[in-house]
Amino acid sequence: MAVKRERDLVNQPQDGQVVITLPGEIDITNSPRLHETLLAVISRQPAVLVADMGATTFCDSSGMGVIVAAYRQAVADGVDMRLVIRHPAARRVFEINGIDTVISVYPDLPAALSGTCTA
Amino acid sequence: VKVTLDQQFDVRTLRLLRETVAAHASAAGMPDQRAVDVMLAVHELAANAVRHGGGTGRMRMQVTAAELICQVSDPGPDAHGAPVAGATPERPRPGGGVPVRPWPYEPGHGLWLVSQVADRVDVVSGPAGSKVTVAFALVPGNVPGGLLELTLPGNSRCSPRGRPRTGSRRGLR
Repeated sequence: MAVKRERDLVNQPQDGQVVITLPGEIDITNSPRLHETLLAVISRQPAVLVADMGATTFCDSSGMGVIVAAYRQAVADGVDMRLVIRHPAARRVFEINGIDTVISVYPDLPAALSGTCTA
Repeated sequence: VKVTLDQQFDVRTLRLLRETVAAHASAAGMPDQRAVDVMLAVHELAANAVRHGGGTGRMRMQVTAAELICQVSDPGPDAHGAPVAGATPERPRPGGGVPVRPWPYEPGHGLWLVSQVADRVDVVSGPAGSKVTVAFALVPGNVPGGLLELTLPGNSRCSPRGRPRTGSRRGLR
């Protein structure tokens, strides 16, 4: 699945908050492009960046590598990067690597934007 | 033992392969989470074949009384010449002039991931390509050295779930 142009993916619900909608499936075919897009958004140094994988039904190790690299860059740049993951097949690769204990993972976009758990 | 699936793949058909493998794993009686693991493992092996094994490969699935077994093979990097477009680990950034930052591809990570979810992994690799066989127990806990998985009801959707499984596990040979 192609990663859309950055301007189609990114919106700003509030000043300083940026939401980027990630593809329905993330694998070796689109993770290089996703890497570029995430780094471009992080370079603008929003206060909060939500990587919204709410509609993502699969993510492989290359996709996870991209998210982890982006997270590292976000931390270095003082950006509070949060993840939305809903589908088990998107979450699994993060679980196996224990990444879901390092990066803040939320069940949906409103929870991620408010930074609170809505369980 | 019967072969339930025999499918060729390349970079354009990885998604189709995932869908087919997940459907067959469920049909073989795998619980949902394990079907995800089977799909993830086969995908990672197929992605390796696409990236390093000449761009194409073949996946065969067998179901025995106790296991679901998947074998992913590729013809080796020399089979088709140049690397496959769209599957290369490095790309220049758009606009040019900016130093190229390779995306964080870590060699071997996919195979490590496979070893974490499969009950058995066997790798045969040589100049004529690779053949990786992964097996998943059809009844949880019945593989020697395997762990009985317990599912606990989660009370917070924000808390970490599904910790990496630890314990004795036959690794790569």
